[in-house]
Amino acid sequence: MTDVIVIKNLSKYFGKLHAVDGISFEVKKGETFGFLGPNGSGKSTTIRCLMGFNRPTGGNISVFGHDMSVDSTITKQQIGYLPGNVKLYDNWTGWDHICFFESVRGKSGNVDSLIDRFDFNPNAKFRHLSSGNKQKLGLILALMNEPKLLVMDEPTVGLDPLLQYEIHKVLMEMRSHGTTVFISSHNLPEVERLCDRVAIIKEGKIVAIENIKALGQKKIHKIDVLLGDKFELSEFEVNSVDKVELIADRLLITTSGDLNPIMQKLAKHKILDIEIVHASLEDIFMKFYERSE
Amino acid sequence: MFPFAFRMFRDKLKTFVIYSLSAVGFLEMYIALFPTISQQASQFDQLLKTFPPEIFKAVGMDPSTLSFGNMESYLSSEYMSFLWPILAIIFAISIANYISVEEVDKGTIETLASLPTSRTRIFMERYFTGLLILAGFCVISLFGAIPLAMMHGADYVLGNYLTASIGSFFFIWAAYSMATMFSVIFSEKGKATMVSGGVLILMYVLHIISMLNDKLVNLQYISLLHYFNGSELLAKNVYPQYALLALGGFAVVAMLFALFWFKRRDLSV
Repeated sequence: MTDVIVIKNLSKYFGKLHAVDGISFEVKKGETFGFLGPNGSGKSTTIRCLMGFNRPTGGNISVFGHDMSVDSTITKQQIGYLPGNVKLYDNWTGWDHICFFESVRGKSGNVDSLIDRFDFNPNAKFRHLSSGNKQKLGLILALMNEPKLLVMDEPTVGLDPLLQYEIHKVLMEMRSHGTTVFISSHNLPEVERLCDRVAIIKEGKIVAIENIKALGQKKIHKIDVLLGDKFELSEFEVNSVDKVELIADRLLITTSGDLNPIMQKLAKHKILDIEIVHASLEDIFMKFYERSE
Repeated sequence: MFPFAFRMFRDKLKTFVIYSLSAVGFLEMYIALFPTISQQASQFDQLLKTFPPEIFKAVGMDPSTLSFGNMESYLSSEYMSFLWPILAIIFAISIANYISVEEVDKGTIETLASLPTSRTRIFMERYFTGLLILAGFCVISLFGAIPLAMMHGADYVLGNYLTASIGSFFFIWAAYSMATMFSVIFSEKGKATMVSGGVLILMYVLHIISMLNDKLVNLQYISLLHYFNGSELLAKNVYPQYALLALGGFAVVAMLFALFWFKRRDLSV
């Protein structure tokens, strides 16, 4: 697979603040790549540098083999961009936006079908649209020229579940048609559902780049136990255990290793209730964050 | 073919019409009064001669152009010396803000920057569309006097309006380029407007100080207003070439600086 996006040692400083600090990663053709991190971690700054809105302090960004600092015009012809909280022109109607985009990008072949699909009224002025409909217009503008790369910055933030579901459906279709998707989010179930690989960013640095399946297969378990006799938390702090907590009389053990030593320790007690679950992506994400602190 | 220019023209059309009609409205107000005033011109002129010359200097007027005997002199003192420059400067700042700071402030600049086009093209199409709109304003706000003069039976000299339009255009071009520079430097519309307006007010103050105080006469050269004498343009039909060169040169340098800054700045803040 060829790389669609190649980011090398990207840094972006705002005075003393290092918003992005020497990150590197690649996004392969046809994959859906998630960019995970909490607010202020550097996700949006990275995307703004990638799209050429902001000038990087250092490093290189190449998309479809073109250096974005030199030659972004041709490349952007193949990129659809959707931010969270789309900001468009209040006094323009949906059609005004669509026609303006067509006058720059060229005639679109799928605009009518997109309007039908999203049940969008293009005659209303942008300022009269609900936040969901504003996002629909943003999505139509991003998809109307059938881009080969879709860049989305928290595209479902603040949307109702129905519209979130519709956007996820569109993204999955795009992926099946071979479109490369780069999506930043802090919505972990969304990333788990859509992405092939994820990069986790913290305080401007990449802390992990993982295949989403490999992440899921990490042997992280959560054991939630209610014991009927006396016990000490320290009893369960064996090598394979990451964390032992007592929450409302229940023992919560998080482990990324062998379960047997823990089960042997538990077997010495009277177990009233037990539940063992695979850790969610959220737990894995938190683990990465704790590890990098 | 020029999507950014076309879109700017559509977005600014209403403002252009409002400003142009306001200017024509003021012209109509003054010209309608002219036949009556011109009958008492000699009395007005006598009255004006009794004023100390410092008063005229303080408001940036040339006393030699002050006469109500012909329409050009009358309009130059009533309209061109103060009202027209104020109207034109406010309009120029509003057009310059559209080029960058308004979009950066609202966040819509990301939409433009995500399109497959260069920043140079966005800037140039918008800058020259703005200039064309301002040129239109200059023509309407000055040549508009001619049909009104015909309507009210007043005599006019066409050449004076042509000179006034050209000279005024150079002045407004310089003010517009300066406002464009602040529009691309700042990220908040209020700040850009305040600085553009503040610098022009400062220039006005320096211009007045340089006229009132002989020791500070050299200060006049750093004020754009030194190179624009609205009353002289319309009343005397003269305009020194060095003034056009100074205003045009300043406008080009400010425009190039604005373009340089727009290309290198962070658009998303």
